[in-house]
Amino acid sequence: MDLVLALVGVLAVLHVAYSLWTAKRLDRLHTRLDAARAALDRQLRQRAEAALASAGASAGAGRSAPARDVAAAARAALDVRGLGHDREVAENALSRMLLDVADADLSMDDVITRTSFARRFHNDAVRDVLVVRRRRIVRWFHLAGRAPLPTYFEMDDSVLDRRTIEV
Amino acid sequence: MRIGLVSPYPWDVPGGVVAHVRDLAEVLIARGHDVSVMTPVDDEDALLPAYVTRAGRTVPVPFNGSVSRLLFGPVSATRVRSWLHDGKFDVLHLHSPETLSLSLLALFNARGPIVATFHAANPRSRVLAMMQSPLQVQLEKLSGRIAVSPAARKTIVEHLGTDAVLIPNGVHVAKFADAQPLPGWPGTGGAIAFVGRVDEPRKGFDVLLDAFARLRADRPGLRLLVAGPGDVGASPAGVTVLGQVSDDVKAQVFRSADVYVAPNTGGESFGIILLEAMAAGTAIVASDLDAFRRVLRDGEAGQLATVGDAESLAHACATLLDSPARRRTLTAAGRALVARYDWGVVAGEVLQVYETAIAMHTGGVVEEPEAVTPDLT
Repeated sequence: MDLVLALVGVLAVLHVAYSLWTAKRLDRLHTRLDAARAALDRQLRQRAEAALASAGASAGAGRSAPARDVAAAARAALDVRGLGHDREVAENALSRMLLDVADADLSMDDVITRTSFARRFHNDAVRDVLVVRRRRIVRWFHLAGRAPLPTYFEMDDSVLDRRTIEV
Repeated sequence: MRIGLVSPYPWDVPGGVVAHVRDLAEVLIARGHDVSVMTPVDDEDALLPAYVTRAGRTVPVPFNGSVSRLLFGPVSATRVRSWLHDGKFDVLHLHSPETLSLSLLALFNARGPIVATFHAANPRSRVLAMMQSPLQVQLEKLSGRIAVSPAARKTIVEHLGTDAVLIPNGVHVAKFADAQPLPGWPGTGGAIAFVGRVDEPRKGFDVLLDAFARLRADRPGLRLLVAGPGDVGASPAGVTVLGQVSDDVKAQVFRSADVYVAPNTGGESFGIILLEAMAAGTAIVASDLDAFRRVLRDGEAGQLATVGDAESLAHACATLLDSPARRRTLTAAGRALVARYDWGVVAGEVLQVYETAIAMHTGGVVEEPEAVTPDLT
């Protein structure tokens, strides 16, 4: 009987230690995710602002139809807060508009590449959080607290990424 | 920007990763950045550039049928920590942190904007499989990950369950384009060049010798220039063997031939050698391997030949040797293509990764409060 109690005691201690360690790991992962989200949000904002500036510059006095469309899409993207589905829709719409101007305005290349990096690093951070949070011990013992499950930011930036190298 | 680079392999032992770290450091320095490289150095008397900090010697450890050179111990950890402390880096860039090496040790001991480049394309890495869980916890500290090829990216997706941005190895295009041919080359009888280990079967040197004999039957003036380590034995007529050459001479070798031949039979994941030949402006004949086919854009920038088939290889070489116009078409396509792999472009993208990682943090790189010194030595 004593042996069983001792065994239960050891298991309980191990469980608490592992839970604490996992909770700390999750805390670190969430910190990184928050930073990645903020960085992606800033980067998307910069892309929309650059698109707006580019549309304004290329249009000159008589605003061309594509420039007007780009400006409208950029403003729509700037109006959405957060990184939810509506932001994805707005940013994807802007990407499609940019397809027409990006070839003409090479100054957009830099901001487009940075946006694609920021998105990839954000989604990497999401994946790392999800891998740990899907574990049974995390779900059963609520080690993640009240933080909602993060979601990937889906955006087709490959169409714009001239940098993409097949090798 | 203050940049700390960590190489996992000894600075004084030639290798792809070491060359990559050196080139990247020098390109970034030339752009005005403050760069410091921490690396193992095996020879205590080795002369090192001013930007290199010695971490100590590596220790040979037999593993998985070969000998890995590792560096992992309390002395190295102390050196890494003081290097991090003194460097006050804005960003820390580790190379191949999936190996048990200085890069992993630095990852243990640092926090802040840290990025890593994964070089290995090894679909069946036992080290990665074995190390997966403990490694994953460490790799979670990385703000950004870079893979040098789709194969390297596939390796980390499958073994570490994480993704990376693709930034290829760089090529110093101007260095190859401006190199002088070796005296007396290429000459008027036609010249072919081969660069690589001659005694490594997968490099396909035997296939090339067979093809060369067939070509020479109709072209008595044809010559073959061979650069790379390994023993050829008695070289056949028309074959000039240089042995292992420096990077500068390698550039000259490309410029000394009408046709560069890559007869490899397998094992290539990237094909940087083809990019170097393109930069030199030499027409290329290459085996129809996946990696080569991709680099050569399905034959747009070089002639493809059936893998391991001397007859097909000879035919492809003959096509180019007999048609200067065809060579010009291919080399023009190659030059246009290699421009995006120039170190200037590649380093610009690496800097964008740095800036993205820095944007995810409020400060620079600092040491972990507690020293981690896994004592394996």
